[in-house]
Amino acid sequence: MRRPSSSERSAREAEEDVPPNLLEPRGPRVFFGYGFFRLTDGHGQGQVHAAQFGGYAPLGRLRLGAYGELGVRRYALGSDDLLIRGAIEAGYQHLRGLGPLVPYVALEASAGVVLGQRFSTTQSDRLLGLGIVVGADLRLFRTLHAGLTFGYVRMAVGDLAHDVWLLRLRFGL
Amino acid sequence: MPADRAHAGLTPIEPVNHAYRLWVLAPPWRETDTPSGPGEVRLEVPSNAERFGGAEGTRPKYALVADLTSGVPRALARRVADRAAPDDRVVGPRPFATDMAVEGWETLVFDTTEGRYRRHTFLSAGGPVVRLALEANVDLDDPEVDAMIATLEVGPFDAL
Repeated sequence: MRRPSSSERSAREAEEDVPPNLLEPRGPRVFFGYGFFRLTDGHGQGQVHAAQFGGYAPLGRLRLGAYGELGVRRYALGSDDLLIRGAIEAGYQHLRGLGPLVPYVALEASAGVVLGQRFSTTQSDRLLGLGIVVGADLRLFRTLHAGLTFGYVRMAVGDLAHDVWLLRLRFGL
Repeated sequence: MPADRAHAGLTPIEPVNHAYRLWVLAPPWRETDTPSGPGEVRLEVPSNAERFGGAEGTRPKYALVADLTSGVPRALARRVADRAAPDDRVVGPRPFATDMAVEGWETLVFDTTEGRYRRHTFLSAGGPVVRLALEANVDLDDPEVDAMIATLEVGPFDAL
């Protein structure tokens, strides 16, 4: 049997000094993010730019999380709409074998409201969405991570159904 | 309804004789009084006092009367401009075309006495002229109003 070299021994000793929660990542906990998608307004606009705050429960390979979103939706014919949305995600995240990269796939369900002015009158439309998202988190330092998510969500805003491709960028701890 | 469909989210409004069709956002727009003729449609956006306070009879934010008339759109728009009071602010007559390439002319008037904006648009596809008379307490030279008028389609159509 080959005896471990001195460098392998020192690496193992160093590993033993590190707290277990860093060797076995259980997923990110909280994040701030930016989200972009498009809910067409029928006049060539409808881009949504949103700030997000959310978090995930440390459940190992089960990725279970939620986030809230506050954004603006471009409206071609007047002032922009306000969008408020909350979402929950449940899926699988792959924790081992890819180093600091944690890819995941999840179902996302969301609900919210779109507030805007139409003909000088405040209008509100409820928003409901269901879809699938895929993404990855890159651990940068200890639990500091950056994340990228791409997904397809079918969203209903009022009586209209939208096919939404969404993009999310995150930084979190 | 898919959001990318033409006129998605809009409600088609036609007079009894189906001579034309206008697509409106309802709410806030709604049909009001019984039209006085087979070619007339009356719509309004109610005031906040009526919407939230139930105060009926208040002047609506927007009111629209659409009907059929005869004449030449440009001359009709010119007549509106000529009838404006000296103190009124007048824009036009100017040309206007709908999404379906129905062409016409329009004149916008700000009535300084009443503090009301009015917009008279006359459109024709070769037959009778469709007259759209809009009145509001906000400026009607507005992209939302442009887009609404541009949805006008001239028939006659089969009943919806």
